[in-house]
Amino acid sequence: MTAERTSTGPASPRPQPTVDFGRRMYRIGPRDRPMLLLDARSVRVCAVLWAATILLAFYAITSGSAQITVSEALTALFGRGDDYTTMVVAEWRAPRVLMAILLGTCLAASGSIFQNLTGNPLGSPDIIGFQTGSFTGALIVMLVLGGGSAATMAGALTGGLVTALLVFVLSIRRGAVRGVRLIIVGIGVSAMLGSANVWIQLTATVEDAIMAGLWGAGNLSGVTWPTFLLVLTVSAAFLAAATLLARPMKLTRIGVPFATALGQKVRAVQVAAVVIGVGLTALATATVGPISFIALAAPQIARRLVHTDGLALGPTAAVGSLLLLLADVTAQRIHPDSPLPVGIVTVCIGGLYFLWLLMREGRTR
Amino acid sequence: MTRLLVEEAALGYQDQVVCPEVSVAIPDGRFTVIVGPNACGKSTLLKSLTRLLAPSRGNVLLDGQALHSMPTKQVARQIGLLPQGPVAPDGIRVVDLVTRGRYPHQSLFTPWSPEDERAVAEAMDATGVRQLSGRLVDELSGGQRQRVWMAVALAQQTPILLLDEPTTYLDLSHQIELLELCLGLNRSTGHTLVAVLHDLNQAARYADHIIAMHGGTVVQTGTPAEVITEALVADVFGLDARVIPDPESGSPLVVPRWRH
Ligand SMILES: Nc1ncnc2c1ncn2[C@@H]1O[C@H](COP(=O)(O)OP(=O)(O)OP(=O)(O)O)[C@@H](O)[C@H]1O
Ligand SMILES: [Mg+2]
Repeated sequence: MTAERTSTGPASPRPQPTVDFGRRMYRIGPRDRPMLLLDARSVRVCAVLWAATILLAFYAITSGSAQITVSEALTALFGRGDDYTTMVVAEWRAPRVLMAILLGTCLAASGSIFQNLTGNPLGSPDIIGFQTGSFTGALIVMLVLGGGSAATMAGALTGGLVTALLVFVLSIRRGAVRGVRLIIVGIGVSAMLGSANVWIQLTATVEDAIMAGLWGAGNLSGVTWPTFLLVLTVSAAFLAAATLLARPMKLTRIGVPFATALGQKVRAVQVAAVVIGVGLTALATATVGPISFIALAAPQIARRLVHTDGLALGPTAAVGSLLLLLADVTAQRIHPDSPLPVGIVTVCIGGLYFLWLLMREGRTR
Repeated sequence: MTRLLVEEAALGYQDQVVCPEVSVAIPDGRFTVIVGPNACGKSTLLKSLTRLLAPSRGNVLLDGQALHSMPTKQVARQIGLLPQGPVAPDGIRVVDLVTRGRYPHQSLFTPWSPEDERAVAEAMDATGVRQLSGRLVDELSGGQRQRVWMAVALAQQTPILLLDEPTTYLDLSHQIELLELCLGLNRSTGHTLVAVLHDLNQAARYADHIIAMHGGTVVQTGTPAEVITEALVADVFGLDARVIPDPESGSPLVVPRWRH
């Protein structure tokens, strides 16, 4: 890291005492009255990640099994292609790619929020059972009640929220929730729901069970524009709330006494964080099924890339989008004749990452 | 005038009453020191003076208003707290930690201002951690870390500052330096300071006003000469000691009796 010190000696044009941040910072605003401080490395990392995501998105849209050339695909994107090309490119591929980017952001933000709340890299919504609970809700609707896809989404949303509530109620002790207790309770609840899911699938007919299994693996195929726009509207509200919450959540990490003395309503911030975190995960899971690993890994990868403490929401979102898009492209291209559900790919990478994390934690304890 | 008052308050935690009834007036513009044995409720009293602990009975008042019904950021611009044993997040730098102290002065639309930068620089200069500013907090010594936490509280720039054992982890010269810093704040800018200290001799030297506590109650308050007496030391700390005038400052000096 090239740390260009902010105090540049007596020749510095800035009159006030400048503080050494130990790294390069951008001061945004009028020269004598900057209003915003941005970590230079974080800005650059975000720019690179988003550039990579855009390139990958173009690759995903313009390539694939259908015999369409890049130039044909580009013309279709701008509305001047033939019917077949337009359908494949603009109706099938484009919403799928955008959905991967959007849900990558949602899952990563949710993971970041929960890891900060619990103060533990394992305190991620996919580990503490919220996604398993969503699957249980979806399974009950699909296989027991026989509902359609909209009902399945509602079932998944309900399942995720009820599980979150259950995990929180079970981990409350003397009026407070502690990170490690929450994680352990969450893992336990997740395991119980996992076996319930298997049981429900075993009682169903083979065709139904296969359909449910496909949903349960996390699948981005078949995303349409209306679904994307609906999810975009809802998630925009949650993501905006998460952005507003970033600064208070960062403060909470210096401990309840200090944060309270600095004027924060700690309990209100925690409740808001839980609502937003659960909402983001439940939304993603209800839309495309459980996709693990993104929420778990994106915040940790982002932290290591930007060398920051705590909640680096921007870089985390960028990492999440790139990861999920990459996983989806891999899932489609790995075996062009029978594409895999994206959830399988993320679980495979996630397994390796999890192992590494556990080994590292084990070594530092 | 006293801005900060505790009136017949009962303080405690869920299942346990620590202070059944305390009344304390914090004199404005003075350096007040709370002394007492371990677990007598000093930190509990200090917590009730911020919004950390609401009294189950009685009142805590700031400028005549109940502290717990005031807007949180408004309170945080008046009263700062250095809690006992704070823990820093992993991988945080000194400057980022000190910057957190500016939270009550910032808002969504003014996330950073030159005043913030000046306050952070001054707080780090006052506590002598300016040259550590780019370092990771995890990699500092206990005493350096304690001074960084003090800088966080100073960056908050509040007229009233509560310090829970600010001298822990510090070597003797840094203890004196920190107490001199507090005294300087108090004498030059009229800060109201309240500190919990364990060293009675330091308390007697630096305090204008002493609050002696025992078993959740305030035993005595007053000037060091009034409070630090042989009878009180025996009563509150169960310590057989002589109290003689400090040859340097003339304040009471507690010398435990030699029993061998
Ligand atoms: N968060 C808490 N929950 C329950 N009980 C607590 C809590 N904090 C303190 N206590 C209890 O309250 C009593 C007073 O504690 P307090 O922290 O006020 O002591 P203190 O005078 O500051 O002691 P020390 O000199 O050791 O810091 C103790 O018996 C302690 O066990
Ligand atoms: Mg204490």
